[in-house]
Amino acid sequence: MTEVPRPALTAPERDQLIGWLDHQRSFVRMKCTGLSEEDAHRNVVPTSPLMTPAGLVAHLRWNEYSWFQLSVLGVPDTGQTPWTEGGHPDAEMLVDDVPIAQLLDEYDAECARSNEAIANLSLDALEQGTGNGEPASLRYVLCHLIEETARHVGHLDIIRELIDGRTGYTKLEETA
Amino acid sequence: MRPPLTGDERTQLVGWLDHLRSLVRVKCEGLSEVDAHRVVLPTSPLTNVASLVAHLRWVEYSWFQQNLAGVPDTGQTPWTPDGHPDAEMLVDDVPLAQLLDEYEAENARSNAVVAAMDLGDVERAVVRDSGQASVRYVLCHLIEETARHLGHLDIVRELLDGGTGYESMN
Repeated sequence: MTEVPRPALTAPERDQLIGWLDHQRSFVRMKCTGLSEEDAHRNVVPTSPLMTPAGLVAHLRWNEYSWFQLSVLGVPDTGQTPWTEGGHPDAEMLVDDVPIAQLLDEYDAECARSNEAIANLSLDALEQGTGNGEPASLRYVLCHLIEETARHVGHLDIIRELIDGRTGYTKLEETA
Repeated sequence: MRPPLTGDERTQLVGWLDHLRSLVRVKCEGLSEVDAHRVVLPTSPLTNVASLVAHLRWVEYSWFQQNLAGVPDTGQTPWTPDGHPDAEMLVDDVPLAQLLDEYEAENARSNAVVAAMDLGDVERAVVRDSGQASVRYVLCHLIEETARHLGHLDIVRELLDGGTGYESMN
């Protein structure tokens, strides 16, 4: 998959926020290009065993679901998420047996669902699913997703480099 | 601190960037001077904590002073025409505390530039052939770039001494 380009230099607010988020989202797959199945599930940060490329991709997918479906749209969790009361707080990252290709496809599909969910919402629209908590605006949620996605891409940068020395993007494409 | 949940565009963009900037210092808390300059990635020796902080500081200078405010480089930056492309990251002999203070001072200078411009105003310098970027574009970019480097700091710090999260690393 190729990089989603940055938004236009003088694009209006909405196009900037969604554009920068789509740009970051596209790096996730790019950072996993050429990874063997074994390497995709390899732990290189001994103090955080869940921080594998696969674990991060799964986390990013469910993070999108949580923010856009559960929080923004207010879809109730009736068992469709990996999280259960009393269950592992990072249950979505327990994906040792799931192929990386599947996780990446699921992430891409979730991002498309996220964009669809907000297509007709104003940037001032408030989250519907925060219960008694104060709701954030869509503008806030988009800013947060940009920084969270970018931060995890930063994790993928270092983890990938530790796994096989590969950095950046063009080098990854050469191995495909 | 994150910005208010329903802040307007300027409040969100500057607020998220300020939040991320503050986390850079937090990720460095309790780090020894030796560890601050220690290489943990043999394939990228400049990806050490001190160099990352210096890089973030000069990235801010480059975007806010040079690009947005249009300040010409008359020798005040670390970059020279035939010099090392990552010259700003060559800080083996500079204490981390100094680099963090310089970063914080740069953040304030950046915010002053932004405060004096509308979000739709464009860079005063001619930076690229494809046109001038707006203040809002620059702020979005700095949010994702700062966050990305925070991700680097997260893993580098954890590899150095196991420190994670935000609680005091001591």
